[in-house]
Amino acid sequence: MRKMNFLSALFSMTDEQAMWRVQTQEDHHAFAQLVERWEEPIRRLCARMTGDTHRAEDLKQEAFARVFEKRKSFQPNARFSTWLWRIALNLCYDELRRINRRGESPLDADESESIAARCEFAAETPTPDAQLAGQEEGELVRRALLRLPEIYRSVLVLRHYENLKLREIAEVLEIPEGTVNSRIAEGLARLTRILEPQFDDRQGRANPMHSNVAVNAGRRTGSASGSQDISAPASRPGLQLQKVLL
Amino acid sequence: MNHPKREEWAPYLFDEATAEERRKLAAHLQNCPECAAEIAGWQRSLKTLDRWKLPAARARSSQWAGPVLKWGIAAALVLGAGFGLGRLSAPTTVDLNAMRAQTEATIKSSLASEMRKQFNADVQAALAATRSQITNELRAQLNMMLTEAANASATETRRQLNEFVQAVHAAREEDRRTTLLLFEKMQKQHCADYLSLRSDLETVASLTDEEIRRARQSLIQFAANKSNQSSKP
Repeated sequence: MRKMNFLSALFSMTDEQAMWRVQTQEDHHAFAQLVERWEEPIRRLCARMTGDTHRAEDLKQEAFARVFEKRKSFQPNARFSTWLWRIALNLCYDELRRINRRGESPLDADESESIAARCEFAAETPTPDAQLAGQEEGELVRRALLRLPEIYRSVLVLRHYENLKLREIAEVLEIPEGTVNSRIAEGLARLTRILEPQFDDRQGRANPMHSNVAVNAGRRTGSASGSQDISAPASRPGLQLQKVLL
Repeated sequence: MNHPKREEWAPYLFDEATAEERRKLAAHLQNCPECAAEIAGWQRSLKTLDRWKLPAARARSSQWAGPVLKWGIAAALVLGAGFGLGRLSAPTTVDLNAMRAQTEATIKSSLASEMRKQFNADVQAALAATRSQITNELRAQLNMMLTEAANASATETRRQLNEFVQAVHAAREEDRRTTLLLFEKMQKQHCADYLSLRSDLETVASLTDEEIRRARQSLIQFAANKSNQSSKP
């Protein structure tokens, strides 16, 4: 009987069918299937949202605990993934609020992890120099994303990293698709304003011929965003970069 | 120049725009260096996002057991189908060696998948057993604690009830004594009253007796006088 369940689960059960079994029969097997299918995406979402892979592991567990807890409130005509993303995202928001209240800086939360990541990716990258550069860039991106307000971070993470369609993001967040689009645009504009000076700076360091780095960065982001108010926010990442590189 | 709205670029950047929208926006980028620069910046940012790589999740048996098992079964199915097709389409002269190789492969893979299934079932059973054992232990401990708590509370209740009963008894005893005293007092009073009433009555009776005797004597005297008077004249 169990074997039959297992086989049918492997080949045919959709997320919604599995969830229906969890709902009506508290089928632990079906629940295990759902966890197995979705734990990686949910862990990634939580890691991208909080910038902290350890925390992401806990949040993932909590998200599935909540799925089981709230199994009765899942609507049978809804999509399981939409519901799951929403639960996980709300947990991330709660966690970020808690972190803010405690006054911790999520920017520094992942130091140990980035070191672990350094070891982990040692095999993938060809030379130590390129490897180090890759880690630094990854860290810059992590920090840049964390500096974005959550409403922009969530749409970018769901669209870019998790590959959800804009329409699906609208369903997850329960907002109109137009709002998702404008948040994507605003998020990208802000992200570009944060990232461009840093990566220009890096290129400048890599290539000493670029002595006019700052001017170059200012011009590029200025023309890109079409406004002149970028000088203030742009000065901070420069400092941060110094910190990271030194 | 008439720039498109900012949010129109989102579907364009992620390949979700309709053909018409895409054509319109691409044409605009051709003619508008300002927008072209901004969108190029956004695209660079999107590319940059890929440089943040997450470390792989901690290795877990279920994460490879699932796919391995799935592929094992899939391979068995494909081999089986191939074998069947081969049999159907084979000419009458059968290539025994090829057939044996095919059969061996099929058996091997199905055996492997069977063993994996078995292993999985065993792991599940062990998990279930452990879970039920823990549950039982917890339940037993909980029961013991509950019993202890119930016993303790029962003893306490009994003690308090005893105290209460004793107090009630004492109070009732006190009451009874008081009532008895009062009763005795009342009875004494009653007796005294009765005696005095009796003596009073006796006095009255003797007085009355005396009075009646005297009245009778005076009546007799009066009668004698009367008869004397009537005989004289």
